[in-house]
Amino acid sequence: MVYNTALGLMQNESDAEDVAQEVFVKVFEAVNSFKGESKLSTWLYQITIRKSLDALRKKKRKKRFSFIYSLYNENDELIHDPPDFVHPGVMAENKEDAEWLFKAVKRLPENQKTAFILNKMETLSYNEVGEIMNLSTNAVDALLQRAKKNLKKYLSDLLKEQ
Amino acid sequence: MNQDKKIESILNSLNGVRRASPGYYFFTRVQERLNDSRSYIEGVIRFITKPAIAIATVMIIILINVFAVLNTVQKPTAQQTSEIASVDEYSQMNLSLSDVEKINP
Repeated sequence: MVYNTALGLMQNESDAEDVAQEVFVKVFEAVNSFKGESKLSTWLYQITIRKSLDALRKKKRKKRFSFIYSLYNENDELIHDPPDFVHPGVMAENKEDAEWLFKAVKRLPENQKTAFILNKMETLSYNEVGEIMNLSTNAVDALLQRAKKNLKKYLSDLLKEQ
Repeated sequence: MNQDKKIESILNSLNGVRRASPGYYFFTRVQERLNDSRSYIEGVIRFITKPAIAIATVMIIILINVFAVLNTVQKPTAQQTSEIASVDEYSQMNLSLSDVEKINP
């Protein structure tokens, strides 16, 4: 659950593992501050999302300043732009389409991306997504509608670029 | 039309997706990291509670306090200086009743 959510947001297996490790360390350190007002899973999802989004922002910042140092490693491979991500849990016949989808998901604003990943990859209900994101069910519904609309637009652009 | 179908198929490509699990030894790595963070915290606590460090810290705090107190006592603030000055000026300007009568007979 922690790793899968981080993977959906980060779209990179080793980054997702790093985030998942950080989440478990954070949980270990802060377990005494968990008051049990929400479900343990909700708390775990919230920490995972926060850590993943922080890691993504950090990565984006690094990318912005990458003109200062080399973009390539010793093997002449791009350090910051790994090959297109394919989620390992996607069915074989959907892999190609899923690749397009993840490319488009990457462009979504943070809150839309989070709601989409929680709903589609973690198969959580609108109610559960709302609990995690501190939103009402209607707000989650609206957020996912906007996400779908944006995804359609991005996919149309991506397919045209092809 | 064809593109709409393609987009719809892409949007549905996550149907039936299985949860991904981390690689082997993930939990060993987490445990190692937890041990690292715990030993770091323990190290910091051990360092702070060393008698020499604790006494030195207390001495520094006392010295800073003494320095601050001495500094405050020796140097009057700008406001205090101006207050003293204005009191002096007032005492010089304070005329007696007879002086006033001399000016305005």
